[in-house]
Amino acid sequence: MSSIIKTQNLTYVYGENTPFRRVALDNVSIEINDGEIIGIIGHTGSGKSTLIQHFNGLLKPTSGDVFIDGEGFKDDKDKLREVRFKVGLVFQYPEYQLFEETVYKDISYGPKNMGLDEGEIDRRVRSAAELVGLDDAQLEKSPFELSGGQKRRAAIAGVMAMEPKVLILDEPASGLDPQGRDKIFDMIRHYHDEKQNTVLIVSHSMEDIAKIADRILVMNEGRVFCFDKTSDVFKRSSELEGIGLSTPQITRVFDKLREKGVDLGDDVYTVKFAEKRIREGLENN
Amino acid sequence: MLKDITLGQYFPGNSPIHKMDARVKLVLTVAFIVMLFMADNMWGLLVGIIYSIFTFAVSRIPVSMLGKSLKPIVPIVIFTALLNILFVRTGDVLFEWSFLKITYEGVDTAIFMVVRIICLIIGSSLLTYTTSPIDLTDAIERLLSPLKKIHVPVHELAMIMTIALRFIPTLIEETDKIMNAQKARGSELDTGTLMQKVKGMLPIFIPLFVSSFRRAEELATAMECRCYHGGEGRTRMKQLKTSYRDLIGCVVTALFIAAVVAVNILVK
Repeated sequence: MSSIIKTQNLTYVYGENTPFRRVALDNVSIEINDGEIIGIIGHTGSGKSTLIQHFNGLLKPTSGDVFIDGEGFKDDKDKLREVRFKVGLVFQYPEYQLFEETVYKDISYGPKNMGLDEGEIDRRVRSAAELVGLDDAQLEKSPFELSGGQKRRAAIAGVMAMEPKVLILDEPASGLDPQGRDKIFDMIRHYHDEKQNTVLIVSHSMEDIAKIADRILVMNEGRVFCFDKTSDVFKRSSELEGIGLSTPQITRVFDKLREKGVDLGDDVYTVKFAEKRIREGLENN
Repeated sequence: MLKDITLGQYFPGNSPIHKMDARVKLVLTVAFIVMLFMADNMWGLLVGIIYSIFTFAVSRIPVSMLGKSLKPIVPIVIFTALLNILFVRTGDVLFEWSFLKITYEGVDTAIFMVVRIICLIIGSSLLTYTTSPIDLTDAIERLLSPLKKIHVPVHELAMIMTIALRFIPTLIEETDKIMNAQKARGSELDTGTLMQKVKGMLPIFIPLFVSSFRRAEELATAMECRCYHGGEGRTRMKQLKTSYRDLIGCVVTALFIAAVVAVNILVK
């Protein structure tokens, strides 16, 4: 597997030379492979959002380097634009960026900026709409007529329609009801299955991340706390709690069970897997 | 970026001037301006300069901040200076060439005007540096409250000011976010013809307007839920209080004004 995103000693400082100086990223060196689903977790102010804004050149490193697809893009305007199309970034509450008369037009805003021809734009808009579960009737509506969850999905489709090699979503499910949350994550999984693209999801909900991520990057105070396979990250549940992050409920249940002498393994982080473990445990006894 | 725009240019600090009552500061700033205009010769103005330097030193505002507030008025200063140098035609001639005639008096007046403008800016920016915008609107409200007698809605106006000031940073942040989001979708905000640029701003302005209306509605509801019904009989959580500091400030300013008057009479 080749690395699609790579950072080397990436450091970013807000408000250099002012009384409000704050180091947001401190010497971050990570490598993300093509086709992975990565979860990024961390406390508010741990540098997650700052980090992802470096991946498509919205922020320039104070020091260090970022490579997308093996290429750096410092100060090169054309390259920067190329990177913006290669790495699609969906911000938190993306529904607040909708502005067009119809959902269709709004989704086509990105592809249009890429300078594609009509036919290609139409194909991309329709395929993105299908991925997020919006039908033709909804495409002709004003985005402001949609429900909250639908608006969210329309906004995500707007980035998906650019068909980026990497899709980054910042808190894609925040503020939605449980049903809306599930829909968003189903949609992301569906998207990944179909495109086999790299997906980065920023969240502070362990449950959501645990269900979907191959690897998890844990940020703490601007530094990489750990970057490992999902099961390996949740093995360190006590350390995670130490930096103020919670582990999935089911992991905590299994931790408590182990304390009580029932050891069913320390790598359980989804309910499905827990069920399998319990069955195995019952059969062995 | 956008966040660098400082509208209220409040510079947090802990100096005696920061701690003074905003109302007193406001009145003293006006007194200082009057003082500058009372001075009718260089010596009087020197008193004004000393006063500005003295108060600035006491406030412990970094000198670099001063440069920042003087920068926008550089064109005005240059314009005033040129106007005076070129158009004051009385007094001894310093330099003459075809229709140009520069006199000593012209140069004198130019320097006098420029120094006066700079002092004016220093004095008034000191007020905004050491007083938070909220305190300032409070002070304005209190100072204007006699106008309530003639049915000027002073409280409402002050509330509008306070809300506007409160939401400037929020809206700046919001604009920043929306701009980033549209940039991530490949919008080019700073290229193309004027028409294209204006069109390019639409994806930013529309969401910004939508969210401003949403915020206004939410805020109105929240205020109503807490039984806000205007200024009638309303008390304040933060009372403005005068203290010995304000007395010292008044005395110092009065002394300086007296000095200016004395200089005016003595130096003829």
